[in-house]
Amino acid sequence: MIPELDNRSPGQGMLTATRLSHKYGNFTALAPLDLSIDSGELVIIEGPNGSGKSTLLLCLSGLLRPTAGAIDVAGYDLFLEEQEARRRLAFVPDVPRFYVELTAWEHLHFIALAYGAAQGFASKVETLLKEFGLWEARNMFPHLYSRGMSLKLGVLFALIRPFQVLLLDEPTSAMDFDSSQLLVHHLKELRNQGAAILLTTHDPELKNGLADRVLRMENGRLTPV
Amino acid sequence: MHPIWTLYSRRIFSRLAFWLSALGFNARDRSLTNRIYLVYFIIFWAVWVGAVFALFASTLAGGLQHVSTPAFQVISTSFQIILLGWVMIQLWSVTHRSPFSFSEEDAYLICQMPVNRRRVGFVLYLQGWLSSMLPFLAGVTVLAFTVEEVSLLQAQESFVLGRYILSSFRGASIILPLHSGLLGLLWALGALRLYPRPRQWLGFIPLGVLLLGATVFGLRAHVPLLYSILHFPLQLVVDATFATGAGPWLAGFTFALLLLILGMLSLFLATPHISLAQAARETSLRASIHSARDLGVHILTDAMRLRKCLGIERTPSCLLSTPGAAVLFEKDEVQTRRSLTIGFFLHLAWIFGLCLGMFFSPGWQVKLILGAIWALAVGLLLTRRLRSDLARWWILRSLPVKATTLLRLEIRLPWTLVVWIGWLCAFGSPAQLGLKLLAVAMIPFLAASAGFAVASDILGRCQARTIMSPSIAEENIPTLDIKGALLSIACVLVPYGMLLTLAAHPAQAELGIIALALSIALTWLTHRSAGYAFTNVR
Repeated sequence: MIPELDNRSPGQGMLTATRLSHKYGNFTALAPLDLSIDSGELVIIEGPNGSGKSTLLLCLSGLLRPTAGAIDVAGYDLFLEEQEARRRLAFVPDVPRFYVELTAWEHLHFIALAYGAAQGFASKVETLLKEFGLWEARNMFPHLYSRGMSLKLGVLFALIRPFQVLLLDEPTSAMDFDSSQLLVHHLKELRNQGAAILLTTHDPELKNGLADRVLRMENGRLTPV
Repeated sequence: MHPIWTLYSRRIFSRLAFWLSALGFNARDRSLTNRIYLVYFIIFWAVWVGAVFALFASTLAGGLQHVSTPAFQVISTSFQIILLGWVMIQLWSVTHRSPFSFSEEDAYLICQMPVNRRRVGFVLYLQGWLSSMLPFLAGVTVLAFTVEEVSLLQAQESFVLGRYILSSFRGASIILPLHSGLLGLLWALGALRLYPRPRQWLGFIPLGVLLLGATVFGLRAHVPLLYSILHFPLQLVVDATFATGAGPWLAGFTFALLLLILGMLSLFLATPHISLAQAARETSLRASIHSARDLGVHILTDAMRLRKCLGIERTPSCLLSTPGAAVLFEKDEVQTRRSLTIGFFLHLAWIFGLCLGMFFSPGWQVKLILGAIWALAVGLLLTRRLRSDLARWWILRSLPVKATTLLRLEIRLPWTLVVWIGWLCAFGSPAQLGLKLLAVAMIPFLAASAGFAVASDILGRCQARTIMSPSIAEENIPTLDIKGALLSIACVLVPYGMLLTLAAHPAQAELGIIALALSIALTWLTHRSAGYAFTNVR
């Protein structure tokens, strides 16, 4: 998070989805839904496998064009004002895939440069890599990483650069206990700095100890818990 | 039957069945009709193979007629060199990596079980022998046919089928035991590497053999006896493979048979203590690459090869340095440098050849055909990086870069190479200066429009859920479709056709301006179309 990223519509939520829906052919993965997450709020979505959690995150991250509806990130339309919206949005999938030819350190450098966050990169990346236990493996190619290490690197993709909205798909599913605790610590810190965070998880500890609001997704419908 | 034999015999049979079905025979069909068909199938392919080998032999024999050295000597020497080369390559291979190849499944299934290692070793040897023997058998048959063809030409006799068949049997009867024996000896050496106590000296054997061979060969004039002693067995057996008469054949066959017994005995003695786990560690990736290649999944084969070549880690590249969108181009540079293959250079050479043809070949029809192929070759080259990056959709799509800018950066590096190649051909062409300059101005747009047309087609058929699926390479990314191919060809051929018309009718100067304007317009349109497809992946 860096302060120079503005929120164009401070009155509204940092992340707003209006009448958002998605269909795969005739199958409705997401029934029309409205969602708003405020600055400094951490929302957790739970629900059974195949209920539409990942599809919702893919739509909210702009990786999947929704069948209908609009998504605003800090007042910027995700599809009409893409660059500004994406600058403020970070997404980490449950199984992140990386470039084969780049090392972990180069991946992070690439991301930092692409998002204009190269200033102070060296010290920041060193701190983060050491915290998440990837410092020794920084020059390795990520396809050699375990699933947990890949997930940590995916999380670092978000933490290495500024954002206002963070979307995480089952971030602790393959992490060890210490790394999960560290992630929780970072998420709390980011929330205190004003980030809007949305994550899906099956981890009850994460849900109970971290969430400001819990939503349940079932058959593509979102309901408050 | 022993489970190991059951497992591998089934595997060998299914592999054989795959190739038989590729040739038109269903090995699993036990009906009478199919058995009758089998007779026809064998006769058809035997005749076909015989005819093709005879054709090769006839061509070779024709060529050998123009060589002053006797044909038999040329063939014998060539085959000796081939055999020695093969032995050296195999020697290097078995002393550096396990010859016993295990797939990933084998590593779990067999290597962790208390199996008889000798049996495993022999079964794997049999599997390796089958694929290694076929080229030798084919080569020896062609060369044996060539020797017969040459002697028939010299005696001015016509084709005698019996002599051809006899010569091929003679060659096969020697080369099969010889090859099997040599392979057995080499694999026995490879088995020593897999013993619990490492034998570092084995790695130096190929170099030692090479140095010894080179020294003896270099000093053959000074130490003829030593050279003769070392060379004699090789010459004896190779000459016997192709010579006529029972005497030489019997000598060669006996030698090959002794070598076979020696090879099998060595393998029998060397295999009981091999470490299967070490063999699996050294070969499972290679086995995966081979099975991907056999199934025709070249994308996977390339990806696995690349992973193998990259190793474990690298020091950070200093190429990544520019903030903003430009870093995408630098990323491409790093990736391209690290993944350079002969295939990439061959693709560039192919484009260069096509480009030369577009400027130098006679007749507009040929030029247009070459132009169409050039469009496809360029389109595929320019979208290589894009396809690879689409497999990392969550990174690519999240970047705060305008879609059209991103696409331009994705194709920029290969586009630059293609443009330089095009300019080189244009400047070297015999056309008038005005036409050359017009071609130079058009080439960047023609290349870009071909690339964007292919990109637009690929992106138009991408599905976010599919490309987000875990994958090794870009196997989930759509490949070029007929629509994209036609669009790419049209984008190149329409302006290029106008340029050709202008070359034929120099008075119609306005055609040049229209062609240039059209190539710019088509580039803009395909660029926009690709950008739209990128932002609308569903």
